[in-house]
Amino acid sequence: MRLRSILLLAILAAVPALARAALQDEEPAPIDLGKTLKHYATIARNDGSFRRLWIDEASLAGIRRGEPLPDGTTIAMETFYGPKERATVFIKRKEEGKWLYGSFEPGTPDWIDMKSKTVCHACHIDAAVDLTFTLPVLAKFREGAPPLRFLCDQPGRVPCEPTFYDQVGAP
Amino acid sequence: MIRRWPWLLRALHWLTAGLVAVMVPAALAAQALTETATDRAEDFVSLHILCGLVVLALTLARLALRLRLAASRTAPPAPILARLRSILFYALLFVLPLTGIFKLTLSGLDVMAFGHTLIAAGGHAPGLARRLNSAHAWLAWSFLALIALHASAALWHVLRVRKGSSAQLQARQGG
Repeated sequence: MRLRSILLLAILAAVPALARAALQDEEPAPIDLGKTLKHYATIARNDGSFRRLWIDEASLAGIRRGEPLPDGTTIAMETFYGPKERATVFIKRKEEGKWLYGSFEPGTPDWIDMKSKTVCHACHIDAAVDLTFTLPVLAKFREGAPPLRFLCDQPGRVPCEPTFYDQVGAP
Repeated sequence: MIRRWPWLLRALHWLTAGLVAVMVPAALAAQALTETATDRAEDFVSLHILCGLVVLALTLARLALRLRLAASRTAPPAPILARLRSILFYALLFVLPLTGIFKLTLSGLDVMAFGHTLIAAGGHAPGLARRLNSAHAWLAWSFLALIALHASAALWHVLRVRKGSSAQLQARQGG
């Protein structure tokens, strides 16, 4: 019984380390996202899944720390359940101050029919500014940092606290 | 003795219960499907929102009716626990839809269902919206716990009354 508890604790302690290790491995090759975008972050989760984020270059140039993103900003988020398990690509674009969302399966990019979606907003409400969790990370990338790779110690799609992204993206 | 409420109040009670029975699984289904079937998840969220708004309207109607009945009532007041339960239920039936509405509108988002805007965004207080988002989730779990407690108590009450009636009947037949 005691040995089982120790083993369980060891496995739980090893999960974040494994996730970090997955990030250090060679990342999956880029796929056609239907647009020319720049990779700015890869975020691992403590269940072994990770996300790779991309932004369009024109909007990147217009980013100011702490301020909402400019109209036209286009962000893509690839999701992976493991290094070889690609899943849905989520996309969002800002039009007239409002975020529109969409998604497509890897290899079949589709940027048509993007909509304002409450199901997406429901999570993004928890972001500190402009319904975008990685805003500080984007600012740091814009200021010249290489694509940031880090672990958000939460499973799957549970976002980290806004202060966490502030710390990662601090100048 | 089982206290019978007027039929209109009973109808409103069961209508609300039916809507809650739809909106809770709809919210859970939306969460489960967000990453795998986003469009279906959005439909479930729309259903959740529509049911929530109807629940809010029904609660207002129910409360108005109860206050009117209370003014003309001659029966003794309900026990303190039953009154406390009613207050908690009404409070949650109001606060839950309101936190749902304001968490969206204060984030600059419209309240939408099936592609139609029902309530336009107003104000901009993302910090408050975040707190309301968290409150909405916690209050929902509290509401479910209260429903479980209420259903168990109602069932126990009905069974106790039935047992009492059959004991009375047996005593009468025996006598």
